[in-house]
Amino acid sequence: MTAASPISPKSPTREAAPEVLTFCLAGRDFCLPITSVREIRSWSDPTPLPLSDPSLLGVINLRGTILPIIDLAHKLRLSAARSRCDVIIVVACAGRLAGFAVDRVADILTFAPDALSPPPALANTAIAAGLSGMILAEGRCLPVLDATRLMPQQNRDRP
Amino acid sequence: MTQTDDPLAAIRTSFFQECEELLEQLADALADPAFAATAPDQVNAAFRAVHSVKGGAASFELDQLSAFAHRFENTFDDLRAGRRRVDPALMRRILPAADHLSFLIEAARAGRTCVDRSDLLQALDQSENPASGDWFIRFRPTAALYATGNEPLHILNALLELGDARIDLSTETLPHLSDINPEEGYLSWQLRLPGTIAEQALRDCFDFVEDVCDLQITRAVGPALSQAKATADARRSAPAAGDGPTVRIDLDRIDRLMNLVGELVIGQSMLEQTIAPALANSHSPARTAFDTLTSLTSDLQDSVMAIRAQPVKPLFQRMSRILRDAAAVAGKEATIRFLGEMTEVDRSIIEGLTEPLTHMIRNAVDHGLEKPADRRALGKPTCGTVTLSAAHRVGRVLIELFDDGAGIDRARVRAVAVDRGLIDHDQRLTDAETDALLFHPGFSTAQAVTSLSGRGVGLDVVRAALSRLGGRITIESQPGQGTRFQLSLPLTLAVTDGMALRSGGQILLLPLASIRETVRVRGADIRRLDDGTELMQIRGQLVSLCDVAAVLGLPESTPHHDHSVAVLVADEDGRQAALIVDEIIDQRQVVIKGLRTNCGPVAGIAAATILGDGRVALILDPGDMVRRAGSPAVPPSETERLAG
Repeated sequence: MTAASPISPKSPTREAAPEVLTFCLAGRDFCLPITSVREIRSWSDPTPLPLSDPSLLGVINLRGTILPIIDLAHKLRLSAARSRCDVIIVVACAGRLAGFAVDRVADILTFAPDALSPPPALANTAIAAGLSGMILAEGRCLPVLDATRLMPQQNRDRP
Repeated sequence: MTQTDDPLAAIRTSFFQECEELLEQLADALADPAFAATAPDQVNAAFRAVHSVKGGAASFELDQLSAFAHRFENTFDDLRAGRRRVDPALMRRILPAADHLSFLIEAARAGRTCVDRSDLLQALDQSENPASGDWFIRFRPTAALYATGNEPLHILNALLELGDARIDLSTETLPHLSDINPEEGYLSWQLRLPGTIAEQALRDCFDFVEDVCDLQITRAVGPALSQAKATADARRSAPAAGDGPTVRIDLDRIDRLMNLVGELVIGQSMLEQTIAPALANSHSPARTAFDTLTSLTSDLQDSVMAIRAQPVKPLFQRMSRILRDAAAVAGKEATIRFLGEMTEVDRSIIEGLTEPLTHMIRNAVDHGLEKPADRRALGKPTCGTVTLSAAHRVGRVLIELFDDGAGIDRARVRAVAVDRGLIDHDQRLTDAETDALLFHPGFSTAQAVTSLSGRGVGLDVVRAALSRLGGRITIESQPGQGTRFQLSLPLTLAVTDGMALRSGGQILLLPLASIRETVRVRGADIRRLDDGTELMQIRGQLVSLCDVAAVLGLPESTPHHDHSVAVLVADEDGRQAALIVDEIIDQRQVVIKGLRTNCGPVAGIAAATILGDGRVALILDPGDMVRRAGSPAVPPSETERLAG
């Protein structure tokens, strides 16, 4: 929380300084490590999947790959109703791809590694489950999401 | 490792890839019945394979591998020269040696050393029954031979003219370079020649040098092998079996090509929609050009598909090794038989099948086949047979594993299941339901059943592995006759012919191969059972109805079936269901896109495809739909569990 480790946009000071993509979801700011972000796409209507998890909006065609679209606001229990999203953040981790539906993408930030603190205990367990840490700097408190934990489950029981 | 920058590393990698092919060729040759008759083609193929491994291994200084391959190769060299013949005893020794060769290769690849199994080679040498009557010659020139201007090479060449000879050079007495006296002779040769050659002819070769060398000519006892020369001649005349030249391609590149072709097809259909007016006239230049493009795209697609697909043969061959190991450990006799091993399946499926099949083969040997004595008592051949077969069925690959063993001991399975609390003591089960218990996760983990379920890894693991591939497994057993496992797998990444349907406001595709017929639904044809199951009479046959939109929970399902269309589908086992949809759109070829990697399993859906407008459409899984149609009262997860 001290100014010793400020968040600065695109600061080229240190090599391998962690970068995050910040975005807006149901009026709140979140971020994802830039290493898990593959690309950002404009919205296209997904084809719904039968009997699937309600936060799975469906699938879209990403240049020949079938990409599941996850309603992040629903997944994190930020809003009850399905939100109207405009942007899809395509994330890749563990050899799998998924698209996160968000309101809008804000910025790319570089932060000092010591600005990252472990996730606090949260009342909203849905957020807590998807969180890998918090960036605390310049009086801001930015939750860092863990893309792996928000991906569709590989071997879930069929609903 | 640290060798990534090493240019040799790439060559090394390609050597090991080549080794895989060579092992396959070796296994092929050995499995060929003609090999047992010492047919020159097969013996040569085996020799070439081992020889190439040896050569490569030596150049990478993989000493353990090259030494083993060298001695192993000698056996084949003897065979192809007709100095030995293949008999069952030799066969039993060759196969473990071939297995060990593959272990050595694996070890060398991993940079490990392997257990020394020179006993295998000794066994090969011991079983050596050289063609009786062969000539053995020891030839050791003295310095005088060289001093008189004689050349051992001429003598050896002269001997070779007489018949196919095995010549071994002995350098045992060769001193260090600094100690060599150039006037002295240090080398000696051991030769073996077919017994059909007259002794005088041999002696004639040494005519001028007999007094300046140590020479022993001896003859093995017993009748001479008359075929030796004939076999050797046949070998010379037989051209080396050569397949066309090949290149090795990184799988990623093929996948990229594959995706691009898929995109091309989509781009083409987008173009078709855009320029539809110009194409309307079937004689217009645009139409002609477009048709040419279409047929080229389709050819391109087929060609890429063919690159990606591979025959299941290498997989099956690997299983024969596993079978031998398992049989040796269990003290049983077993052979493996392949059917349809040239069936082509996508590479990813083949890779994913290795683990479950390995377990199933072990399972078949451990628990399926009886001990040789028991088999004899039952009037069966002492050697059990495990049959692995592959075939294409209804747009899927069907792999069957059949053992002619004792079949499933249902009383015991039942006892174990009751013991484990999986079923009630007095619960009635059909035979099929009893057999299905073997797949229950709770079944195999119990200590009490290790002798039945093997290494603590149960069939539930096999089923889970298959399910990850989008496959299903069923079991069928006849007491005393054997057990048959049927694995049904998708041909992922293939193009399929599908019927486009509209249901619940969505376009869905149904694999054409699963469709029997389509009929218009009339309310009067529908019968309703007490449990809510709906049946429809089609050509006098009652088939359960399945409203696609309702079963899949699609948003716009229509409650009334009147005026909708029923598509009669059948799964791999021939069970049928009538799928109710709103409309049939058309029939088209679609590129199958996997859903599973990114989305996990999806109920009732096998895969997805991309429509002309770039949107995703789902491809129905007919088998899953049939199962869902059959038992609407049972929750889907339950059906899944029971059906395996």
